[in-house]
Amino acid sequence: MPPAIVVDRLSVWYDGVAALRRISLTVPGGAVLAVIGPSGCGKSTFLRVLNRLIDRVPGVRWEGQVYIGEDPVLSERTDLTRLRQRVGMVFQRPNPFPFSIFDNVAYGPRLHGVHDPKALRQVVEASLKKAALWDEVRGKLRRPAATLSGGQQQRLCLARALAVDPEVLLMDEPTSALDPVAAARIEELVVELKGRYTMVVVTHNLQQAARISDFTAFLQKGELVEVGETRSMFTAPRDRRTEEYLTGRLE
Amino acid sequence: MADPVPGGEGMAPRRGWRRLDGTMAVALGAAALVPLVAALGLAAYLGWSAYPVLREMGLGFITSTQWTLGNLYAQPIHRGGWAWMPGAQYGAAVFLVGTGLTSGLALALATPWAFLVAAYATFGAPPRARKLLAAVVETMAGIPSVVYGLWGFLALAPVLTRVVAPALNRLLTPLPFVSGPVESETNLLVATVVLALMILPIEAATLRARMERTPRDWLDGARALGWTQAEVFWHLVWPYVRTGLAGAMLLGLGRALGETMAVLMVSGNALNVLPHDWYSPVATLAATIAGQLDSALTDPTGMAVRALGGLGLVLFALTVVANLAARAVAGAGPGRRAAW
Repeated sequence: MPPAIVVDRLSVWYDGVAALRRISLTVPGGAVLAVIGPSGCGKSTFLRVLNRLIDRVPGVRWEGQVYIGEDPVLSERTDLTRLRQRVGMVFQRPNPFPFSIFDNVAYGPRLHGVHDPKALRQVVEASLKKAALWDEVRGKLRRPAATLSGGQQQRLCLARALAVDPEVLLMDEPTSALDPVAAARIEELVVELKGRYTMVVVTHNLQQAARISDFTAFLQKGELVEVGETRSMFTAPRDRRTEEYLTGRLE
Repeated sequence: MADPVPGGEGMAPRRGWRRLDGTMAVALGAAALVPLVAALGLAAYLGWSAYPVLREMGLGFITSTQWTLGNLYAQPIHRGGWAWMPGAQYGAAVFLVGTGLTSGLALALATPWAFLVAAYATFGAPPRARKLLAAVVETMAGIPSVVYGLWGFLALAPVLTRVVAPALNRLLTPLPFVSGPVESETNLLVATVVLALMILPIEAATLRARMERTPRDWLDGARALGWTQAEVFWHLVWPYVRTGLAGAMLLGLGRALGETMAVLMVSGNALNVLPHDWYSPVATLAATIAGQLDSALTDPTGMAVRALGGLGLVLFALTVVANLAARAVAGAGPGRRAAW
């Protein structure tokens, strides 16, 4: 059972300007949380706190705490390498490494100490299968990742994240750079992987949020306006601002 | 069909602009030809000037170590239709070896160092220190070489010859080249270090610019997978920068080959003797041209100045080759992302 994510009064500032204000929410283990909201509302910041990618932003400061399972994320003692192995991430633009398809997936396990060629091949195959890419790339694993299409590259990035055996997956607008068919495949994958990983998906696409998520959080100007089960939020939002956003009266 | 553009006649005045385009093309083309003509003219002049010396000395111009203006008080003699001072000999071997040694050693010293500086300025230093470091490096590259030379002569040479050279000697004594008697405060060692300090900023700035261009997407992806800084650097940045390394080195080499003032001040300006170790005085092509011009002008036959022209021609050829090589490597640069 993948771990739950508990966000407890999380605030983030960039050079003193608040990007997130006292966010509290819980994602049950194995569930999919969609994070929606207008541009600049803090969605990406929220995502990047969960794997501490935010550390590298100059002038960043935070308060509150995030727990993945039992382990605090925002602690001086958090082992970032271990955290990021547990929490995989897929970015907006597919960003495969300039290696072969095989090496893109095998690199993570290799850095974590798997060197036996047979074991590596198994990990690569299993990860590519989980990311629904295996059938398209088998026999071409030595080709550069850059020769794949955008959608394939994005699935390769997913396979790359899965290869180090994470428990949580973060996705930052994973389909916004893809054509509708490729986007649909990513959506299918999210639904398929549900239950095995706890997932947080940032998206601009409200229909997508409705299709793939169990819970939805609506952020606006760094504040959590509403969070709840996707079905009930999309049919009967409790907050007027959520309703306005969902019906397109506010962007 | 849609109406023609309203007010079409109103565009007539633009004809003047069009004519200007033609004029501009000619003017700009002519302006762009100037450097080409200058380069060709320079090469032709050097060749013309050096011709009698090259013909008379033959291969000896390259292989002989003897460089003497001859007996300047005697009557000129005639050889091959040209007037020579008796005993005059122009062999550039010492300067060729000196140029090769100073440039090569300075490059070997500066390159790893520049790489570390660039890596630290890009990835190691705290964000605010990075900008400062980058600015310092770029400023260093712009300091006039005579300042390096003066400082090298006054401050660096005594320390290097009195402290560093004896220490190196104690450490490395049986080894050839790196150990030997230190006879002069201006020598190959000092020239190497001063040159290295001068090419370090050029190489570091080039490498830093290249490292900065490592695609952010890769770095984000790697960090999100939990790669350490060292892993990111070794597996993503280094392969990306590697192809730029040769370009940076050739840029440094270009500066080292042509460097005149600083080397003139700290190299010892040896004549007629090849350097036998790292502590010997040396002379380079560029420094010799500057240093010998005064005495060459006293040669009534003008042959000594022509010989310096010959040195210039060799130096010109060397730098052209270095630059062409730099361009060739730079062109082959970052396209090879998939090859790794």
